[in-house]
Amino acid sequence: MTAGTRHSTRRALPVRLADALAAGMPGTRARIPAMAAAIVVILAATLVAGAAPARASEPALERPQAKALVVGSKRFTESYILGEIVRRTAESAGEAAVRHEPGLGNTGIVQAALRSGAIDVYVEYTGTLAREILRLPDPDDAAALAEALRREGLAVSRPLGFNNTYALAMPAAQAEQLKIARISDLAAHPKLRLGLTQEFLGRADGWPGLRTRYGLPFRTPRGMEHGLKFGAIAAGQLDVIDVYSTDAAIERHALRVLEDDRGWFPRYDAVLLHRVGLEQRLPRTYAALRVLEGRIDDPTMRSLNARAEVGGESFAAVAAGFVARLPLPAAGTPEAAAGGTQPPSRAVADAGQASGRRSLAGTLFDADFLRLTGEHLVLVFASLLASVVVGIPLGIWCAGSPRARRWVLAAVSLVQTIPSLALLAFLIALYARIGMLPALTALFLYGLLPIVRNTCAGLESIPPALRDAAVALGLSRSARLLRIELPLALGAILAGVQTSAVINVGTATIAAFIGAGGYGERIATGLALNDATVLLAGALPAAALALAVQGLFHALEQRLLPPPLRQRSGA
Amino acid sequence: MIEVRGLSRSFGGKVALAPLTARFGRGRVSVLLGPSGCGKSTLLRLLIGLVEPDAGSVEIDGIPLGPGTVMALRHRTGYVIQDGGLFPHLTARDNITLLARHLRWDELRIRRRLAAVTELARIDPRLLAQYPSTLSGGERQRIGIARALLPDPPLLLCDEPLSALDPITRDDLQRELKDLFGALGKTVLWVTHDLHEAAALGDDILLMRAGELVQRGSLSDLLDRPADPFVTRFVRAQHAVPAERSR
Ligand SMILES: Nc1ncnc2c1ncn2[C@@H]1O[C@H](COP(=O)(O)OP(=O)(O)O)[C@@H](O)[C@H]1O
Ligand SMILES: [Mg+2]
Repeated sequence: MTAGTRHSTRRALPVRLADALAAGMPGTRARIPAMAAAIVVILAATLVAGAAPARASEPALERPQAKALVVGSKRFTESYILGEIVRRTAESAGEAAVRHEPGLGNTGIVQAALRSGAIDVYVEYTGTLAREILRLPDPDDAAALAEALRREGLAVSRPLGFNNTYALAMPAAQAEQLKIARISDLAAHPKLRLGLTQEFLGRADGWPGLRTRYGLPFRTPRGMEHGLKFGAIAAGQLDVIDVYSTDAAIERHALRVLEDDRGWFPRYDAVLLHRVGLEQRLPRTYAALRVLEGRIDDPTMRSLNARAEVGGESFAAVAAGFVARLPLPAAGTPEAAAGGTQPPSRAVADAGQASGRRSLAGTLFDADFLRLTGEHLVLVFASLLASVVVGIPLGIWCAGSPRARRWVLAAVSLVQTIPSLALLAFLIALYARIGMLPALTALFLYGLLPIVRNTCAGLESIPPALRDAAVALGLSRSARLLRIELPLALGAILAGVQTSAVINVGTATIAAFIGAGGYGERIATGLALNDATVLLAGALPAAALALAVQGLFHALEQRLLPPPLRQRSGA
Repeated sequence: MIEVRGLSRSFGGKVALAPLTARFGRGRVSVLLGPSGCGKSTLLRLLIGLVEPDAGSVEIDGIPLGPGTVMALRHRTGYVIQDGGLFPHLTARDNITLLARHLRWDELRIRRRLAAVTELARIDPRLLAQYPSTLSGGERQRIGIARALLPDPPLLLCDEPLSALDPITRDDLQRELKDLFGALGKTVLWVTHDLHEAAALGDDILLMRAGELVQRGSLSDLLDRPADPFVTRFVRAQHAVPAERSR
């Protein structure tokens, strides 16, 4: 899940969809037009309602202005560090206000952010660009890559130096003993246990092609999450895993990287990716960034990663140390060059702080605890409010009309099936911004189904005799709704709102992937750093908040429901 | 007075009420009698606008029932159903005064009227704060009747109001309501499938079968001058005792 998202997207349809949407943005190639159209229809229907309440609590995440540069990064250690390096390098030119939006989910999301102008530059890998984003026939053809990018209004720098490709690795001692140095040596050891990321297993350029190229005897290797498989190999549960060639864990776990002796893996050279025109808009900044070309080789990147993941240094500190040694105009004091106006991005600073090996309690109640809690509460309750305001009328509409029931319920259910990262990527493209607005909209959309369904079901479960009694009494339509039907359905409606709220608490952790903050920041950082303490420091308060929300709704039920309708409180 | 002309209704090809023309006099209790499914409830539901007729017309005290008049007519009509039809989320008091509050009566008027109907329906005032689920069947039914009486409607439609009660409670209420309706001079349409109940309530009985009015008259008319063999069968099946007594 951490670095696994970096080369991204080949497997899961939903994630591919996100990419298709992102790639189709400038107006060309919608790869899955039918699905995309379906989603557009649903979103369009709810967008107006969703955007309004969302905007109310939108924090300052403006689009870049003329003299501003926003650097993006993906959600894993290397990308965080490179984002900080790019930020500091750009600042050294003293030309633009530079900001870093760290940890922006997967490739689909950074792509959407870049193309919409929410960010200006980030570090991408040539292999990802060629295969996942542009789908070029020959991923190692640099000229074709540049040409394809130009057609989409994008450009890349020359490679930064390191090639972070896939590799197979195994414990160095075991490799020594079995005399395995190259991938082709594996063919003689069919008993070895392989653990590969699901992504690697599924990609055409991953396991299927590799197995054919080398004639490997292993049947179906186990699928593992990226961060977890290191623990598994350290514990002796696995013998061979896939790694990225700059993975800090290679040194940490004393692994041997097996030589790709039949040249199967493509190149994943790190490059700066930006929109065409950056050079004209910020010439000095652009010149400073080009200093990075060829400066970071494999061992350098691996050691930078290790300083953050093993040494527990903050991303900002690791990046500062590296940038200080670059031959930049104001080398050594990048902050001073930028006028000292831009503090390091908050998530990165926090992540660095948290990643020092500290106690769980200390990490939990770190200085950022209140901010994260505040953000999480805003995410959960602002979106919930919107879901209630829109969902209850939709539920009423459904209960009154079988047609509406069919279509509305189908639409809100369909929204539920869109994976969160795909939905976020779509919303970023739509709003041309990252942060609270798309996060709140996504949570609002996910929150609709339980509320609409329960409102509708609650109203439909009212006995016909009671409805008739209300009509015969001479109550108007609105009086029947307000005095009889909604109060009778209130238990079900509250249960729906509660379900939405509890789900929201969990789902809101994804908001961190698009810079909207909340406890998800710690979870994302913990995953990226493979640091269980930080991860727990995010997951525990989220769980506690979920329990608190349950309690809140229980109390609300006791408050709002008349005694005869209260039985259902356990459900 | 209720004037019904050619009123009919079918549900999916099945006749619930064949064209009916009838008149129900002011201040009288009329009983709709017949086996289950013969269209009694449908007639009441047509009169209160819960069901739209296929054909025919209804006029109540000179006012034709239609989209423009149905609300006002409902406020002039009390509708009582089995088990009271009480709203479970409201206390007995709130059930009774719901319409008055909807019509924005002032507090004093509501309180006075509540006291009056509570007394008429012989409700222990201590029950008013309770929710329907904590009341007995008879108590619930009294609350339902008090609710129907609240706007002092000239017309009462009662659809088997006593069917869910035990025989003793039922007998008491039957007697009591007969006296009450008589004293208040209400026009009453009372639906039942029970010959005993019909006989106890009045001498204007309409015996129905499969949506058709078979015979209208007093109990002795039904016993002595049956319009149809069905009348005799219905009476015999239900009523061994009066049949013997009549000999
Ligand atoms: N809403 C409805 N939909 C379909 N059929 C109905 C409906 N209401 C009544 N009916 C049918 O009309 C007939 C008369 O019903 P009803 O008036 O309730 O009879 P009763 O009250 O005499 O027992 C029955 O056959 C019943 O099934
Ligand atoms: Mg009936």
